[in-house]
Amino acid sequence: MKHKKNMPGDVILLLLMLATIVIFVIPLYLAVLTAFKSKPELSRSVLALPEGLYLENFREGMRRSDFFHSLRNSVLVTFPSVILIVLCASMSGYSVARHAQKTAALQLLDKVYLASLMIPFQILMIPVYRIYKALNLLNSLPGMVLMLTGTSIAYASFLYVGFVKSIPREIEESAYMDGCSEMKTFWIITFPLLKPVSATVAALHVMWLWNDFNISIILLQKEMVRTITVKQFYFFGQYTAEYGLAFAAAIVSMIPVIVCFAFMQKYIVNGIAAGAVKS
Amino acid sequence: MYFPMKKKLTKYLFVLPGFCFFAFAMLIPFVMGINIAFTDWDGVAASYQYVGLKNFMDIFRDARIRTPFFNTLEFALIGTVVGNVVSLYLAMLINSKFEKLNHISRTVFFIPVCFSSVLTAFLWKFLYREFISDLFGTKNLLGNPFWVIPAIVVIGVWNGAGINMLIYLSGLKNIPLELYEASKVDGANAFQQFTRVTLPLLMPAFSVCVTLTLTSWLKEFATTLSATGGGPGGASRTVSIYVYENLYKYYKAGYGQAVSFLFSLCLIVIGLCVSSFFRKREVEL
Amino acid sequence: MRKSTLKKMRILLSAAMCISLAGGCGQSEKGGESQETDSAQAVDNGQEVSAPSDAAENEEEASPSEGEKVTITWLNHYQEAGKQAWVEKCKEVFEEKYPDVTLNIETVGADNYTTVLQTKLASDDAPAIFDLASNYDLGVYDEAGHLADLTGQPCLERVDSELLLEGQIDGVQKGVPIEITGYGVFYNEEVFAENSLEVPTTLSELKAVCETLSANGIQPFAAPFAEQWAFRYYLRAISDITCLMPDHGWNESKMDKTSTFSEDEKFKEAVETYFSFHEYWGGDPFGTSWEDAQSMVANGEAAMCIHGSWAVDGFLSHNPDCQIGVFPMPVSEDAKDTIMIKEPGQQLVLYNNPDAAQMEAAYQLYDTIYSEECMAAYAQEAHQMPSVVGNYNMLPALKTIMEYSADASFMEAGITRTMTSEYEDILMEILINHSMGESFDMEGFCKEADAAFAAVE
Repeated sequence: MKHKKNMPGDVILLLLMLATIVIFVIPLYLAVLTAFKSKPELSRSVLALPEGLYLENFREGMRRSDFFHSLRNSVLVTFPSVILIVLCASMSGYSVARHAQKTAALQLLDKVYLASLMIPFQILMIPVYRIYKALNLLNSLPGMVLMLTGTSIAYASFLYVGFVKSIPREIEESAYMDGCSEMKTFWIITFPLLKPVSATVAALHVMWLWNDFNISIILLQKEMVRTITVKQFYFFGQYTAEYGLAFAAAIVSMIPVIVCFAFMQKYIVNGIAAGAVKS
Repeated sequence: MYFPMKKKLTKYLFVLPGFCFFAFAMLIPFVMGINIAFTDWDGVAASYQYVGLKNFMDIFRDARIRTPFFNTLEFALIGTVVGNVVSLYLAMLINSKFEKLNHISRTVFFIPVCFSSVLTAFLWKFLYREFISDLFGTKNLLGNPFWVIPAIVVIGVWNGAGINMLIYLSGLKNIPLELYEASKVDGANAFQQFTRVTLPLLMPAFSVCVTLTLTSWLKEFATTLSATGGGPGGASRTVSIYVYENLYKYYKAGYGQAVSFLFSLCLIVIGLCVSSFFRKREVEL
Repeated sequence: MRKSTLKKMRILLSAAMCISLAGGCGQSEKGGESQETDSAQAVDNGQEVSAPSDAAENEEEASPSEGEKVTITWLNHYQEAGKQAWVEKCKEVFEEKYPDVTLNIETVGADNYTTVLQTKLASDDAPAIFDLASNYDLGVYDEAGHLADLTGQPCLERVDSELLLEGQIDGVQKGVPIEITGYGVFYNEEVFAENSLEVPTTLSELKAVCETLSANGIQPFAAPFAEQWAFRYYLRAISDITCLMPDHGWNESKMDKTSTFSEDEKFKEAVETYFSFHEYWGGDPFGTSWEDAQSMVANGEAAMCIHGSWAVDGFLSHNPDCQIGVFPMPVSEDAKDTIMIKEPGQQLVLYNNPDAAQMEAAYQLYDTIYSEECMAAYAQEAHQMPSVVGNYNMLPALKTIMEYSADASFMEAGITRTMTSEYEDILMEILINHSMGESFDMEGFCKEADAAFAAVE
């Protein structure tokens, strides 16, 4: 009965959904087509179906980007940073959400974090390079982790602040009654409830850090430490570009990010925080 | 006596590790680099001279900065509205009842996020030139001074909507279903449910998404540079592109830093206003 | 039951986390860093296993006192496969000749090259050798004291003497162009043959060619005006001959405002000539990118394109079978005015390093790069026209450019030839904005350009 009543609405919704998917897929389809074409073939037509199963782009793209090595670099840079970001930002987001109203210092921190998001990296570039040179951190993957984490903390904390507020304080207060310290309460009670946000933060930062170009181009200049994202730009010359190779390399290198996203999805869906709290 | 003291420290302990990273990567370099805005440094010379506030005065006399300034405002306005409406729309689509489609569509909406701006620009340059122009019988919109900014916004939204979609989605998932049921009992229709339950409870997501979309469009750089290089005839040049040109093309690093600094200040004021506007409306459960 | 077990597990887990975290918090920032550095070494060790050559270099860097080997860095933006092959060749030749010097090659994209270079210079981490695009850049870097004196280097004798003027500042050699670039009309020879067209030598002949092509349904010019840097050659191919060739100080006089565009009849004439071709630019020149233009010429959809000589390589990459020819842009009805523009290309320079050993190695590398062996690779692999005199295996169109005699070509060397990027951007922007309609408002354009130039400090 109830279902029948919604039928026309459902149909419209379904159509909307399909239309939106199509709009989003067209450029993706082009990207895949491009990856399977040689440059002359691409030049004749972008839209036509590939003349054959042209895998040379993938082979050449992976060879020239030293694929597995740079993939390893990307993994070593991205995942430790994301873990650090989730741990540090959830804590500071929590503290700001719970105490900023009464603590001027935290309020200031919140504002400073927000303000820092407005600062273009260009201003920081030369000082950062100087610091890294002095500390001998240039061309070092851990040094890169440090920078990626540092530049992401503000955004991630900002994201956490709003969502911590949606978790009722009472839950934590009952834990204090049981004699838990605030730190302990956070990790036992609050952090698990923040799972959907954490999954979102993690998914976003995996993607961002994986795709980081501005920082890596400055800090990682040796071939041995270059990440896969920087190597994708090897296919762009001063006056010419090899888009087929670039797309092939890009598609292969985004697989880890998409797998990671698919994995995170589960948590975004399942951790319906407030609902779980009430039961 | 012991406990409150410890509690007082704990809240600082919570923010300490993150702050250390932040200070190392952003705060210290920022403080170290800020002096350049007050010098005549060309970006190459080994030394420079302090010129006081001259660079800042020059900004107001610089006729060339006006177009980028208004372009940037246009980007910010269109980009923020379109970006957030589209992201929220995507999130709500995914949050609807088609279980199987949801998984596919969520991934489909997220994949564009993984493309670099250069590759995105390539795809859309082709679409604008061969596809959309045929569809609407126009010339390439990217070559039209009037349409170029909206056209770039479309590219940017395709490329970035997945990000805000995720934030809105986790906001939607955070809304207790009971509230919808309760409002249904009260006789609210779908629209009323949206305005009375969904929107207010999405405020945390709004404060993040609107603030950050706004400022990221105000900082717009990469997509525009790859799509048009700021053209045609400077019609899509943004303040960030102008800063970049001053820093690395025109040998006016001091002036470029000054523009960047002043502009960041404006962004900070705007960002703080917008976020506090939404933060005030956040509902604490 | 289950819930309580879960809860216990959670408590245990979180307790562990708290402890580790408390430890982490207790550490100062410095502590955190040292941890990072430890793992940095671990990563480096990992590299040593996978790449022995690089590992040796790392060790070397870690303890400079131990080895006597000198390491020098070549920062470049050569990402094209052909140029990479050439760089590899240089490295190979160099390291064979000077086994106690290690050459470290750092390549970044052309878009990020200046950023990286300036960052490195500002942080006392200058590369030993790098390149600069124009004479103006050379002047800026020289004034900062970054450039080493190249006077008396043996390689100078091998370079075309006319080109050497380009790298001199107050008579001192600070840079040497590595190649010659030609500017003119590049065309698809097959399209010309199919339409029985001859290479035009005057303006009206070129217009006739355009008419024939249009009548046969072929777009005469591929006009990549969506990209400002590619747009500018459509004017420069004319104005360099009519304005700059008779008056080498033309650009300077505009930049120091000693002359105006409004009063410059020759310039106005050049702009008029440029715009008189607007009906041959195709339907949507401002929506056409350089990539599109290459594809159009290579596949015969368009016949010609005014550009620099690197275009030949670009066309061939889009269609390896296409035949590309080149002729100078006619600027008047007199065939004698039809002159090939040649320009010294980018210049390799050495960083003025106080360390004698480093400097010596850099000079050695410089000599190697400007050797005939390496230059042959530059011609063959990278498809360029080397500045070192020699008999190279070059693409046909490039050979054509080189064969234009001194009388029939304008070598833009040793003059302040181009405007600085800032002035050029301003001029081109205004020109683009005036070129979008069907008619051209010459007075308005000149006035706007003069006002904009006057506003620059």
